[in-house]
Amino acid sequence: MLTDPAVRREGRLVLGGEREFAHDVWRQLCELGVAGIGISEEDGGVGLGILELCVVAEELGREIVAVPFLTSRALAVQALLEGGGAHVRIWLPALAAGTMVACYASPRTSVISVDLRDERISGQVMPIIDAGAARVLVLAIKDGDQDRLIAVDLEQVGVRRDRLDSIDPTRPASRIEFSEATMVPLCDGRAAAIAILRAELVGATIAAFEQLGGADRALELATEYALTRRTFGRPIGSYQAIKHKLAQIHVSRTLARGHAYHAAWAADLNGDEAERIIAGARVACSEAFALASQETIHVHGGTGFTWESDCHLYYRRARLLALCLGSVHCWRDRLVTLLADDAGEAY
Amino acid sequence: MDFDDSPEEAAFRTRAKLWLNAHAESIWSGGHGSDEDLRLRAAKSWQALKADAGFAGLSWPTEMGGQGLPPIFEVIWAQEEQRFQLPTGVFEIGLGMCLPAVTHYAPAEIAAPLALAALRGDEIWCQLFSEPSAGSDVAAIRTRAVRDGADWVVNGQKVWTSGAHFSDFGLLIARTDTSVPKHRGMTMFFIDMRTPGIEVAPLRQATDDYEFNEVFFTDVRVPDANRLGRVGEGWSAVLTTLMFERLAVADGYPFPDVAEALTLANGVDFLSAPAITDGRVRERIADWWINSQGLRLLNFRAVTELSHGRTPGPEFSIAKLVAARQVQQVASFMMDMLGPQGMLNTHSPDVPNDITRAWLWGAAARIAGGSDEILLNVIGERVLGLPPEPRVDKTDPFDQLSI
Repeated sequence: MLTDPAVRREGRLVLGGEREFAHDVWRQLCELGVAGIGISEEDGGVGLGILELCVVAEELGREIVAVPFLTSRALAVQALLEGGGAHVRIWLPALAAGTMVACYASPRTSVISVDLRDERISGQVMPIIDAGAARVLVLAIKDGDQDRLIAVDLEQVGVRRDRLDSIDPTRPASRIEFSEATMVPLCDGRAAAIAILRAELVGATIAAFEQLGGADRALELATEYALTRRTFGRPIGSYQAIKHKLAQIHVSRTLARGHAYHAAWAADLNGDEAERIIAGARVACSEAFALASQETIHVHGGTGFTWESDCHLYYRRARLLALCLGSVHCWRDRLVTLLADDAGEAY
Repeated sequence: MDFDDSPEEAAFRTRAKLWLNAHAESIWSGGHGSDEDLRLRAAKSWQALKADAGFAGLSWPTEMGGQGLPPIFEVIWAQEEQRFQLPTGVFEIGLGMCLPAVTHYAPAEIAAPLALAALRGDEIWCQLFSEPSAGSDVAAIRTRAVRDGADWVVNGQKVWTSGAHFSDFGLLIARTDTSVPKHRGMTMFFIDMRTPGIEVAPLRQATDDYEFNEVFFTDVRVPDANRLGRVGEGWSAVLTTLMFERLAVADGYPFPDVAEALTLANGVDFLSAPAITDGRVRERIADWWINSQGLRLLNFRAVTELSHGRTPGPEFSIAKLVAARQVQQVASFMMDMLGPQGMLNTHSPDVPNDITRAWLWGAAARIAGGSDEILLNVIGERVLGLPPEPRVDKTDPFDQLSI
């Protein structure tokens, strides 16, 4: 389904700013139950779990599909499932069906400057991917040193959304301004911290699979081109300068695949090691997709730098995914903190 | 991918652990760099002990003295044995490569006694492939073997032959016909290293150790009974031998890695602040952990393949590429962390492995067993399907090549 040229055509419409996301593809995906994975059947979902989300994410990543899967299903819905309590269950059936989209923001994803008073929110949050298409924002904030998880219905007086200029227009970003808008407090303190951590670890895992799919496809495109494009009388893929470059991408994406599988396993079990394992996957998959997408443009030469070529779509998506949950530097730092703690215990 | 053993595998692992815990320490506690004779004696006693307990030749057929188990049990054993840093390296080439080739090609009455002696550690083998003009390009060998009655007469030179100075037998590839293209004119033999005319000259390595050698052949007579495979089909025997090469099952090289780097970073200052707080140090440690963990996970996949009875493909040749580069990088940066002390050979009790030794060996690791460039070619050509470089040496007769 995702390799149908119609998917790419609709993606181009989103790229040109003519749509907020690929509605047609999203509808088809939702008919298959994609938005309801990991949501119980009594809440309108299809059951299943993290592993199935990962399988879908890899395919979406391969074809750089322009749909709010990572933002809505992986991050926002996961945060609602973890910390939403009973009163958000009215949203779940529509979210599971995909007829409603949610977006997510936290200090890791966005610049947040808001004031919460008496269940009212004022201030602004930016950038938020898919905020233009979303009905609900799930927002994680630090209030002093207290974590809070809240939700805001975006279709109310007191909410203003402005489209920002995303580096990857197939994943559009917006700024949201609130003035005395009504909010729904979900949870506070330790419960909120746990829900936020869990949602972002699941999000990082899903992102890792999108990155993995993207890296694989970018390498395929480069390899296909290197087999057909000839210079100085032979295919460019026969030159070691190109061959070794592509082999290096293969090394990087193969190691990343092991990390991604391990992350899926760890996110599913949700044990103590999950954060360390997923941090490794986050870095390995971000770096693999970055390398694959940048070198794919390079191997394609000038052709790869045209708007018509898909190369820049992978390049843009790779950068956006690498930034959307904190850069690799944040995650490396987090990883070493965890390793040093472990080492401290061991010695 | 499986992250756990099957019940049979788990039971074997437990049995291996118990036996190793009971016996390993009694044989060896010397680590690296100790006296070679001492290490050799300890290695032989250890191998004999293993063989008596039924832990040698786990995947070999029983008629060759083995246990007839699936290859996955070799992997489990290696993982457990590795924790003790035992001096098993001297047997790796023989048991991993040479004997499987001998048992594959030679009749049982010749192969079985050789296999038994090697399994017990009584006889050590070396591999006589590389030459001064044939490193990455093994098929460029010039050592000649000329038929003379019931024998072959060998003349030429081998080099980088690990352990030749204490080996009893060698696996030899020699050129038997120069009038055909190079891949078609080679034949494989096994050879008694005490045959007159063989001279072994140890090479002093950059590490100041003597582990590999030059081996000179002057009119060395080898019986035709020692031939492995048909005359002129040595190249396919070489490829078969390399396929037997023990799967890279270990978690990289026995050199400092993430744990050692973390320990050092916790103990020293780097640019006037504790090293562990420095962003440059942290980024590197994170990346090394990600590489090493990535290789462990890749290894899980290889083991899963083996466990399901499949042979892992060339895609797993990336393990050596990544691990060898990392040896050099970790050691080099640990020397930076040591500051001025990095200029001295380290023998610090705080660091389990010698940093400068690893730094030197890192350079060798990137060459031995397939250089970085050869491995990248293998990945590019056999995994990604990219075309080879154009070459003339496959079709022209060997004696007309300008090499």
